[in-house]
Amino acid sequence: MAMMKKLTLYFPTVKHVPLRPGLYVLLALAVVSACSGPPKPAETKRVLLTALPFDSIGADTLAQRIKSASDWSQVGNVFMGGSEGKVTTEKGRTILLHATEKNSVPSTLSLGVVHDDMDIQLDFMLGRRQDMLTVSFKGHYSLILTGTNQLSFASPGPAVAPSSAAHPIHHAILAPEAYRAPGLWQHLTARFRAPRFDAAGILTDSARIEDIYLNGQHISDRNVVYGGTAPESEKPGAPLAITVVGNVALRHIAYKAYTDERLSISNIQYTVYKGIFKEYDTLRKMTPVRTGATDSLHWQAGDKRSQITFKGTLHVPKAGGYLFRLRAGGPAWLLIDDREVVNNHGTRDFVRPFYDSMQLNAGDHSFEIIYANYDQSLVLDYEGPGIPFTRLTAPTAERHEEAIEPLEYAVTTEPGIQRGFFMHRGKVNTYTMAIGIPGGLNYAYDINTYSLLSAWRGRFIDVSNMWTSRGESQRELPLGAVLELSGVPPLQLLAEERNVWQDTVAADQTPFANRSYRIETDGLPVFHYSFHGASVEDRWRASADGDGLERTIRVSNAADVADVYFLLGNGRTVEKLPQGGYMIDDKAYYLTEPKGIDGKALRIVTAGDGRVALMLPLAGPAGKQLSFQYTILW
Amino acid sequence: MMNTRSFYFVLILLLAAFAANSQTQPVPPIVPKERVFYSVTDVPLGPVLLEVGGMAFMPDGRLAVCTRRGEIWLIEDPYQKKSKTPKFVRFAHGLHEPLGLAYSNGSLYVNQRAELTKITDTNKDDKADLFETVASWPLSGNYHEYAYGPLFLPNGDMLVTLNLSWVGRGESLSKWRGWMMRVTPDGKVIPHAAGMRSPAGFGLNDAGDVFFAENQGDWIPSGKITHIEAGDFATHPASLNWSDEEGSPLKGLHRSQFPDSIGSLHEFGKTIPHFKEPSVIFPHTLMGISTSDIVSVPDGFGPFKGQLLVGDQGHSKVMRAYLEKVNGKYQGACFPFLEGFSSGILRLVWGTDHSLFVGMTSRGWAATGQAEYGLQRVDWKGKPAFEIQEMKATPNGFTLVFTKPVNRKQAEDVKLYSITGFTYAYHKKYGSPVIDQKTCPVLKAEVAEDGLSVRLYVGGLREGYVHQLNVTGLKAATNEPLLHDVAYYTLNAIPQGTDADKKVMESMAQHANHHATASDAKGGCGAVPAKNPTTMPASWKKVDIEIVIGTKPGLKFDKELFEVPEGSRVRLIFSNNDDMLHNLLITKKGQGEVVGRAALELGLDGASLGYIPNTDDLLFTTCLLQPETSQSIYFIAPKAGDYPYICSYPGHFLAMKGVMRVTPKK
Repeated sequence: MAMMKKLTLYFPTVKHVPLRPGLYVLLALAVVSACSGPPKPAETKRVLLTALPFDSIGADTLAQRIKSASDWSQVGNVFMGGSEGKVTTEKGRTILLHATEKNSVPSTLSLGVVHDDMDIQLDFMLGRRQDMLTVSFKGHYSLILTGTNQLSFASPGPAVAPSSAAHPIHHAILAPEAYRAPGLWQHLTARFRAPRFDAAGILTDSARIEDIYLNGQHISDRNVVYGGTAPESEKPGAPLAITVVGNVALRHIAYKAYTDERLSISNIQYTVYKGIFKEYDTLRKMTPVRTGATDSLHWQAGDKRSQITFKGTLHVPKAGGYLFRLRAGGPAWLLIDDREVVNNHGTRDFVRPFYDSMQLNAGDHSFEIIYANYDQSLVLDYEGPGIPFTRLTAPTAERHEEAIEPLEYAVTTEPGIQRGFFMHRGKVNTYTMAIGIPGGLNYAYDINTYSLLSAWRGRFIDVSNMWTSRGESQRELPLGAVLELSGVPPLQLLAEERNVWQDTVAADQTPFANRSYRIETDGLPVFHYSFHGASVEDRWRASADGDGLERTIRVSNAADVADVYFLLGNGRTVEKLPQGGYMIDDKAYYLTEPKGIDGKALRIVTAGDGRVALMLPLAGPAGKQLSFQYTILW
Repeated sequence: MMNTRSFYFVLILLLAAFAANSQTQPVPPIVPKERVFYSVTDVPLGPVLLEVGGMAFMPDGRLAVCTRRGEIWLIEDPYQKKSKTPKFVRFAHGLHEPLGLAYSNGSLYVNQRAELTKITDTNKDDKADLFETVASWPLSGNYHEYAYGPLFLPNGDMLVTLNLSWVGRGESLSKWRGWMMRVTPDGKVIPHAAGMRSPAGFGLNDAGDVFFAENQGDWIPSGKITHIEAGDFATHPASLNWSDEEGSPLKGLHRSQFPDSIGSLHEFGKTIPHFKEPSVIFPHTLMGISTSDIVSVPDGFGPFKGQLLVGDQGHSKVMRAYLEKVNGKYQGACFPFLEGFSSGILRLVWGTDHSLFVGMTSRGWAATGQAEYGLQRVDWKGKPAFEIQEMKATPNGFTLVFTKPVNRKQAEDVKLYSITGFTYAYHKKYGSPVIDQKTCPVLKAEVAEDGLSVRLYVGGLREGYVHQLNVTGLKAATNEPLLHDVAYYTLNAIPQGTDADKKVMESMAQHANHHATASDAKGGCGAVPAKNPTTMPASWKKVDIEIVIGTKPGLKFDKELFEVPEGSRVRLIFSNNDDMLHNLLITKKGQGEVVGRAALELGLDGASLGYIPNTDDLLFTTCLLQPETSQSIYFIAPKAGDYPYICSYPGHFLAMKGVMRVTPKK
């Protein structure tokens, strides 16, 4: 009687669809990690380390590798434009390029890295829909990316065990939401697990890919398992290789190769104190309630709502930098060799991670973990040289947040419109309107700054975090690989053209006036606002071919307008294409040649902080009217 | 006693109510005697998911309702005059949790989380097409930052309120959280008043004065309604983060002036300029647990014109408040009025035919009404009940005005009346127990000539205290029983008397028996310590089985079933990780609901006992726990069988319960 009954919703477009709840945590992390490219100019803040750095395959190594290979070269910039796939380049060494007239001949390049388990990440660019990139782990476990929306997999031999529900052997996965148009940089991360053999050489576990993220979208919902092979060919095995067909560019190829080595702990003594403390110096003077030996790091050895410490020996297999990640429900500290390594700033938020790292020599070290057990959750993971994130604490010492069942806001024939909170560039945006256009184009619009935040293809949003119980996070979750734009307000007041832009708008001190939106007969909104005399109408629709988002801007000057600029595309770079149009933000998306603008008025401007924009001055006398249109494609 | 005819009448009512409700949940606790005078009808919603956030009538007679999921629906013929099923039109959607709706001059106005929006259907096709931003609110992303209103003032300006953020306690993380703001039609925002926590409902009385409703929480010992004027500070200090901002009427009033534990709100308030104490306190659990909307009673709804009706979300009921001015400030009494609504009440609005529409939702905050959401219509059947119509303060007691002449002989007997004065602690902690409770002797009861009022002469009254009045067994001259026999008067000020008034009291006091009983405000763990065993018995060598139970949002335990073997030594740890007070009681087989209802009957002593009744049906219990605290109890599992456990905090036990299954010894 007390259970919440599942109700039939009138909401014609809201359906119940099973989705993996954990997806969104990973997605959020992956989106952050997917933003690789040249560092932002003038960014000097120390970035928090949440993972050890990857090993890069540098320009010199690649230069060696391509020495005698035809059709391969190193360049500083590359454009793969138009349907004929014409390739133009600029000098430099940061990009590895394969460009050829022989469109269907594959060309393989060994990257020289012999490996077992590994994580890989790279940026790649395909010139046309028929171009292909294959990443071959151990030389023959292949992940194939094409210019269409399909990923394929190939194995060296027939499966030792047949494909089963628990361990399916995928041959291909469709991922239309993750697709990017040719000529744009795409980002791939994957985790490869090498096959396992027993002492007698029998295959005990096939090779598999455990996670694939393409442009921030988690692709496989189950591990991709490869067919087996003989052990002799696997130890040490052939090196990592890439095979390309047609016009393909790569950059930022990096990996982490893993071994079997792990940290281990021994001689663990636990000590339980009465009471619970926000600092640990008090403990040093107290008599404990009890103490004893234990073989695992678990708060169960202690008492409820009291302090517990663990002391013991930490065996470090290999010297190097070790990164620790601590999550705990209550103040917690890790000390190694009596030096504090990481603490969680006394929080009881057992989901929030805290990171810090330490250089450790090989051999034995003393460690101490102190935990004020408020909420029965203590999770300590670490990453080390050749060691992926591994848990030190007991698995059951982690308390899990209650999972919320997904609730899809399905868009079929009517557009979806929903205001709510939305994650953008790692922060919560509280003024978002999410719009789902029937046909599968979706965008998130900041209705406080009038800027496009994000766009994605496929399904609309998951609203479970808004309308389940109290809806604590109020977050709309996009159901597709998200293209994040800069989110900079497009209307700027700049005394000088190159002045640095205003990034934020305070809701209660907004420079925008006469703010509204209208719903048109197609059910989609058109936004109105005025900014220092310029009255603007801002309309987003699906482009005629359905591939991108078309923006139509109408400006009329209600008064004399001076110093006002409209930022079309903006980001780290704005590159004009020879065939017309622009590539924005280090080739994250295309911006078609705007229609309705006098070509001389449009300009590319680098602001004082290094950011670049395609800009249009709106200055003019009262009564001046202007209307222009452009499409963003990705 | 009801005669046969009334019995069948009520039976039919109950059956009709059951039939209407049967698509959702079992029948909520209706008080049949109230339904003799007021009918409560479900407005059939069909497939529409109507979690009511705001309601307003349109000029064409349709009822506009905005929902927590961001929609606005127009309901045609909600009176069901033309057909059994009203027509629903989806007028707008996509808003962000709008919690208030008003109509003005051709447009609907909503206050949603981020914005106060004006919504217009310019081409009259019953679909809103123009959404204009009137004002934008700074937000931190905290889930508790709700926005309410707007309420239109006669001059065309609007009032809105902004809820505090919640970070384990109420805080004002974004600008103007905890404030009431005035917004002009062209969007100018002026800070109006501060000191609020969860000001979910506010309305005007007939004189055009604004009252807002507040919920128990940190700094707020009990729900209340307060008359609020420009420049007032309504007691919660978190909002003072912004007191020095431009336009603030409270410059110079800072949080640092409020120690964590203050004690007497009434005394402290005298030292703080602009401090506005509650006008009517609604004692927590006795008169609701989460006061929501406020409306003023018009003609045609019983003999209460001009009084205020106050909704309650947690207890699914509507209560009544009578207000008067003493020394120029509002104070008065609250009375029970109508119980048994189908879900948690958030909004009240009057229909054109004097019917009251009650808009409800309980997602996230379970209510005694078990439905997830609902819309009901209340109509007065035309006959007034025998009720205390007004309770007025006099220099030496109270005058009670009744709706019908009283039975004179009964009403003159002072033993009919009992009055208890009590107060609450004003402190940073969440809520407060009743403290400093004392009986006030009733020295004389003077019945007026027309029998319509009784003047009570009462000793021991204290300014700044709430006074509970019980009138047990009083009948009208026609022998009709009093429908509701309890009232709570917030006696902020005792009216000035003359010397003659003082002499009257002195002579009466000489002939009276004084007895003051102070109640022990200790505990919160029930009356029998043996049933609350918080330390491991010395005879136990160890605990055989440990059970940990926490809470889930929506007033639930996170475990609704656990098993222990018969005879095992059990340590049960109850961890209250919610943001409200809870306890855990294990009862005899099948007696969960019985014990839960017994807790409701504890009255004023309930809080000090932790709402734990002293009954044989209770086996073991924890104390009533503050948010984010836990307690262990130790007991030996009884004979095999299913033993219910509940949280007995008033209003919780219907949803917050489970079963301890004792398995037979092997």
